[in-house]
Amino acid sequence: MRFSDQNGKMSEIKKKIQSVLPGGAWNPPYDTSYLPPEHSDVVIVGGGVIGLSVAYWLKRLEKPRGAIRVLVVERDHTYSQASTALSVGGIRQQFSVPENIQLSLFSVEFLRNINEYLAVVDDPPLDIQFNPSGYLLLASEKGAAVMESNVKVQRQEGAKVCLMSPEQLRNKFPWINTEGVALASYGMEYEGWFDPWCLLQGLRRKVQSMGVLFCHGEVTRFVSSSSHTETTSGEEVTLKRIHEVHVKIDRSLEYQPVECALVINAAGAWSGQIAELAGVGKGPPGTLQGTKLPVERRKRYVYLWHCPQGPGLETPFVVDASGAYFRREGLGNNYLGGCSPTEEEEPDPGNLEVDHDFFQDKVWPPLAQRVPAFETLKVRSAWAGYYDYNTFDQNGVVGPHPLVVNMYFATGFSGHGLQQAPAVGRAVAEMVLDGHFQTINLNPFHFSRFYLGEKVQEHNII
Amino acid sequence: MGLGKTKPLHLVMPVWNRGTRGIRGLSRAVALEGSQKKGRSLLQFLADRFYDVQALREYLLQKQVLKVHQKNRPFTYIKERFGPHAAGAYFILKQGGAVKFQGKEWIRSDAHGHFSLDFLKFQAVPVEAVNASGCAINYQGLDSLLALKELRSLWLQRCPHVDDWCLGRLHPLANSLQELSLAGCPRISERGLASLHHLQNLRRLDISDLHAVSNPGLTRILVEEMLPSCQASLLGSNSLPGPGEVSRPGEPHSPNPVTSPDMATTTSRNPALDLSRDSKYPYSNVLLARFPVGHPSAHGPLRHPWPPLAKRPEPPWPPRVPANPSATNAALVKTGLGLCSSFPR
Repeated sequence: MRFSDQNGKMSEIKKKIQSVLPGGAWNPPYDTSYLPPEHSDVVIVGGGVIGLSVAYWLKRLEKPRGAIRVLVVERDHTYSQASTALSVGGIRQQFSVPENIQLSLFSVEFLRNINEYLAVVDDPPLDIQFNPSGYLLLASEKGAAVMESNVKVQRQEGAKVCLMSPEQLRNKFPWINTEGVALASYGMEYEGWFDPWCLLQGLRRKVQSMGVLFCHGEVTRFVSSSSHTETTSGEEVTLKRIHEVHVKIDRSLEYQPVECALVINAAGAWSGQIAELAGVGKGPPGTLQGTKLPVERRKRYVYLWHCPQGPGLETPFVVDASGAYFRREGLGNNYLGGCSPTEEEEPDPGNLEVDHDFFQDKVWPPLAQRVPAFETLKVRSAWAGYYDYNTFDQNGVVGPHPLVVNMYFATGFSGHGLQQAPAVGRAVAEMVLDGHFQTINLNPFHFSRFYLGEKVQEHNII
Repeated sequence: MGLGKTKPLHLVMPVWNRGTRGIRGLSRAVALEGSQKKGRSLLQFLADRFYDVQALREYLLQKQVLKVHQKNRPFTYIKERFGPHAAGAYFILKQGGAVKFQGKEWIRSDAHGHFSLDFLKFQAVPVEAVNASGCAINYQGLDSLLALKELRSLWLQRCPHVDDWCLGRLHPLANSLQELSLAGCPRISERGLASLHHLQNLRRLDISDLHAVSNPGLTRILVEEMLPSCQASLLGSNSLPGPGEVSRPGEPHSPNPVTSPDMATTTSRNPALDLSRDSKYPYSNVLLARFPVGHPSAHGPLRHPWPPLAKRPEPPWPPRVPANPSATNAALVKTGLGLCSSFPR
């Protein structure tokens, strides 16, 4: 009897030892569900609207279903500093670069059919609270010719934009003071503003139902290997490949190395730091190795004010020639607005404190001159958020890095990332799965333009 | 989990048996009563195939969505052959609405969905009025309507798929549209109404019964400020009388109850206001049927009218304290459990 018992015990002990050794199914005695998995096909750094959009399209376009394991690493689950949550939420097609117009058109179609794209069984449908009120861009004498050519490009791409003279402006919007305005372009359809938080939560919910893993942590290190090759002209090139991503758990020293095949940099305002970790820009300046990712965080203020005699329900998103903008918020005569500071006045992006003097000096005067009703207003609240500002040409960076071969960028949108997020997500997913863009060609947004010096300058930046 | 198979009841032995690991193993040993077994086994069968059931539900949902898309497809052949007005009329008639050409009578399909194709002969006659109440028109379907450049009245009452995006699309009709009715559309909110300021010739706008509008009174004031020559109404009583109607149109959302004598006479005679059409809404859209956006009458085919603005009946609870509570009742009455004044003593 004793013999058989001991044999039973021995076999149990043997089984346990086998499971600890590599190759066995190790069930650790404590709970490790907060740690990311040890292997993941794609690691997306950044869980904002762009990162989640990439995750969604990867899961949607993969063949067969369930083929790719995607991990989204987000440092702050409350999104307290994320650009998505602090955004004003506008969407427009009035850009000067055709790719931007196409991205925005695709995204707005996505938003219109959001309940077909992001439907989850047994969950209520999403209401992103879209206001189809359009954008009104005003131009002075100097900018009128540029605006005309921009509108031509926009109409060619299929955006419904019309030009208005000052008299037409006065007829349509009697509360505008058209002094100094030579031309205005007005988006009739598919432009307006919506609730970005709803889009974020909708994407998050859908992406979780599709099986994407989330990790609450910070990327602290990339472990990569290099290989040397020669180009056709005989130059030596060092190609890097990222093998592991070290994810440090929030408020702890513990980290988990995640073995991955691809890394997607969608970290928004912090993309520059992630790129540096991966070794982008470590080399003599002027070479491809030495070209850094020129995305840095810039602070922008948004103010909410109340003006009892202000413009009514038909108010579009008005962007003045001076750069100051405002839009209606709700039904109670409240307005949101702000202004992008010039290069010299850039505030320190270290924190998200609001500078109210900026409103007094730089935002209020041009708006009060444009809309005389705004001479009496009271600021109700204000907040600040980051732009992932591309210092090179204020347009996004999409696509793989030429040297760090498995790092893809989806960042640098300088204030229009939210309105292009669904389209950019699809573009990155196509690049990852097929190797080239299929719906919208974003080759002009490749990283190599920073080295070659080819600017894709966007003129209509707000 | 092994349910559905008969196993003899042996509770004591398996608890100490090596075969059971922890608490979950116990249920393997216990067999169910015969009467409950059948029901439980069906549920167990479905629960074991959770992802298959989920996939089936998603497929059914997709089919509903595709059905709506199919209804809103463009009729390009008719448009090329007979012109945009005929194509628009065909589209509306196919959906189950009514069309009025300039100088002609209202045309509507019958209960089986058939309609005469005589209107295809009116090649140059423009369409003047469209009644698409209750139809499953969505954003794509509006393509056909926007080609009708001389449309004067458009009724989109109780259309389950017309939302703010569709309203933003109505600006090509600005030159001619004089009357627009959006009563009872569940997806329209004040944000969509803000885009109606392009329609400068609008004289009558019916925005009653919009459940997604947060502040109907304030919205009406703001809309009237936005369109000074337009009269916006919240009571649904200002719409033009439909074809062949004698009295004020007794729409279900008006303050009058449904069984008013107006309704009885006009139901059969007046195809434009056929109440049986209402049963198409809101169930034609599965999403809406499951998640009515604040709509109160997803429970019944006919929507109950608004409660009259008169005094509401008093609730029976808490009971009113009678003027002279008897001594025995005093304590009970104070706590609210006492007898009502009407209760026989």
